[in-house]
Amino acid sequence: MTGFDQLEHQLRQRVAERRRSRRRRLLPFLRMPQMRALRSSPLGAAVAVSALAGAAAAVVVATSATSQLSIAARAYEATGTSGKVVHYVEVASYAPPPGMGLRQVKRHAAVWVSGGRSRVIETVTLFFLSGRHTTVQHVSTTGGVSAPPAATPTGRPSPKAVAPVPAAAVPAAPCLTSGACAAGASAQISALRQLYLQGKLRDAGQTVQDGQRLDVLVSDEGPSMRVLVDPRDFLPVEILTRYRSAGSGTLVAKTMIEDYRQLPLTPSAASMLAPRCHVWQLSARLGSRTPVSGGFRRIVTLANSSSSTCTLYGYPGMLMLDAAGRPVPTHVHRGAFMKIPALAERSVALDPGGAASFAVGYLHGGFTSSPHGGFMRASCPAARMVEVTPPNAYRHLTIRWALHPFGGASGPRCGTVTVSPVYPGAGAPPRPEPPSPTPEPVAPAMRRCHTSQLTARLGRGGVAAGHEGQVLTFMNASGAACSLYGYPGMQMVGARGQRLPTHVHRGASYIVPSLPVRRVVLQPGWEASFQAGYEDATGFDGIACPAASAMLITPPNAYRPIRVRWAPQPYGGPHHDMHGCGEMTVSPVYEGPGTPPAGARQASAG
Amino acid sequence: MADDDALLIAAASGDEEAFGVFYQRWLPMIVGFHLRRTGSRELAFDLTAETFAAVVSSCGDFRPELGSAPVWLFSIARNKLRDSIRRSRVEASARRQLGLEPVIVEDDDLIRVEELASLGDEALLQELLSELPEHQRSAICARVLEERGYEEIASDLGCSEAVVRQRVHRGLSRLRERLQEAS
Repeated sequence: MTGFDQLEHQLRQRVAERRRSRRRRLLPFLRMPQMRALRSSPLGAAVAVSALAGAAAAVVVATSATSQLSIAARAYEATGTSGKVVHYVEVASYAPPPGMGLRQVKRHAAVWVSGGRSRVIETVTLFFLSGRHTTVQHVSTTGGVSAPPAATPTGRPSPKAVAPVPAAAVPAAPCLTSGACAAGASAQISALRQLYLQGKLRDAGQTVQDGQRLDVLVSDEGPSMRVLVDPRDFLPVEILTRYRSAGSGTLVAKTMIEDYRQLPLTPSAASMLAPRCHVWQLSARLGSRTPVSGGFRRIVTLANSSSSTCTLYGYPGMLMLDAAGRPVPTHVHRGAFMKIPALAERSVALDPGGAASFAVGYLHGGFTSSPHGGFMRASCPAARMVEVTPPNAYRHLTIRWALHPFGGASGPRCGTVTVSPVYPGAGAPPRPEPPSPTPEPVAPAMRRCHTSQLTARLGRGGVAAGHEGQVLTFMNASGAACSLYGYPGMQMVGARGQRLPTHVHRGASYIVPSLPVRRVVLQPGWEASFQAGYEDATGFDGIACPAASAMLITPPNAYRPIRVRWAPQPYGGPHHDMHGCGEMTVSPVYEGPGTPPAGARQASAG
Repeated sequence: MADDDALLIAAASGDEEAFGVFYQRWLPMIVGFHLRRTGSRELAFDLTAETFAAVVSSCGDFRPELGSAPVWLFSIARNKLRDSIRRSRVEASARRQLGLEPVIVEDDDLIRVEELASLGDEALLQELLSELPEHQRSAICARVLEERGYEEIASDLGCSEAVVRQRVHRGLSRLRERLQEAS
């Protein structure tokens, strides 16, 4: 068996597993009591047929946190070949808003209804069909989940309660027991995407929840909705829907999405609410060129030339070509550089005609680092054209662009450029957002860590390509738990105790990874760390920066520093000024000693 | 012969046979693509494995209305190649994502890389030729592959020499365009 045969064998196995895992997910539903009832109805037949055909079709049955709600599922419809999802769940007391008949309700694809005057109930019953089935015309009342009458939202028994709660659908574990939450989540995102593309969900700023910055989308058409969206991948994390009810005032439906990333989402659903921009939708052009010390910052603008809205998220790719179209070695460094601030990756929605840009920074060609320190003449190849690959795209756009880069934030090296993530508009990059969002409210029992509670020590250090990095670790030396949130402060001090110029930059650099800002709870004796990085003398010719004798480190949100014996000698001024000294980059604090766990790093688009 | 687009769509729904046909059909072209650009047989093997692993992971994303299966496949191959140039190494991310075991490349495989690459060139040419209009294909086959004179071809085809020259010229231009698109 050759290597190619082995490869084919393994790949075929993976393809076949796809079908098996889909069937595994579906089988539990086909065995549910509701499904038995369904199979005798036209819809049930469609579900069974689609399951056998391997198309995605699933039923999720989940109960309230108390499993005390009476629900009667009533109508379901699936249309089209694109997997459009329509589902509708009815709570016994629910009456559609005036003027909204069943047909209209059905057009609101995302209807998660639950109720109770003071209770918020999570997902109830959700049916969805997708794949290649055409319309299921009419479905009669089929079944539901019953519970003690006293616990219905209005206190009245539901006339439609027919079947008992299946044993598998235990409270608080709906996804685990049903196994189809992935399908449900995909359906939910599909539904939200429809609303978003129709303009029914509009941006309403940002909020901070559990230390995480979230985008807010709201809708006032039909049932009022508030959707909290993770701006890193534009997936919803919470959906709140309010309905007016004829009987009991307002009904509130709240769907908490625990963690989409742990669910086997279908790729199309995982690819964010708005579809990503494909290359065919975009055009690229060069924007302004700004000279910076020894190099240039250039803006490249991507415009949406199609007629539909799409989304860009993350960093673009670049490959330089020479006059004959041959690739020139290109090293793309992601992050901050001269006059390119450290920007967070964010989702940029491009309406038709809309534009997003990214900044490219490089040192101008002709020189490279000398083995004896400083720069020497070099002959870096010049590029005449550049292939730009938009974030998460497979193809590229070619632009005419003569450039001659020899270095960027990762140091002097032919063909090195630094790119920012895409940001909205066609102008210069925006000012970086303050890395520390509004301090998160801390429960009274969990106070922030005061300097008097903490000790600080040096952890591991490392050196790479002209950069030095250092892990610093705080320990809670008190007898009470406390929490840390955000970035520490740093100040270098000299041998006589004098303060040395120190420029602390919050975020990521060549050696400091990009980490999310999270609250870290420190029980007595527990540790939390952060990383600090700076450039050493490599490439800085003609200046001598002072070395520190010690460092004063101020824990996040504290006032007094802790003195640590550490003697860094950082080069570069604010934003990597080649003639300055004392620039250091710090990460936010993360749990534990040592380097941050791989899972803590922020996902970067590849 | 099943359509490439249909094969990919079937593979996305779990049809391993369809994937096998697609793999066998396009393997030589992808090997040839990577070998011509890297000049290294080991690299060509790794890049081919990575390309097809990415095909398996993302065939659910394939949309025929946005471009045919070969165009999609070669864009993945180009992407993998570009990544390897940028990072000076071949990534195994797609293979890791699928949980594939590493394949040890033996000498026989390296010989096979060259065989497949030469097959790929031939197959790609045949594929592209078959897309040409009949009158251009027969003119090119007669002139370029069989190396016959214009006069002889003209009398065979029952047209003037100028027409044959024009058909060969247009056919070759079109072939060149398609070759550039494919690779």
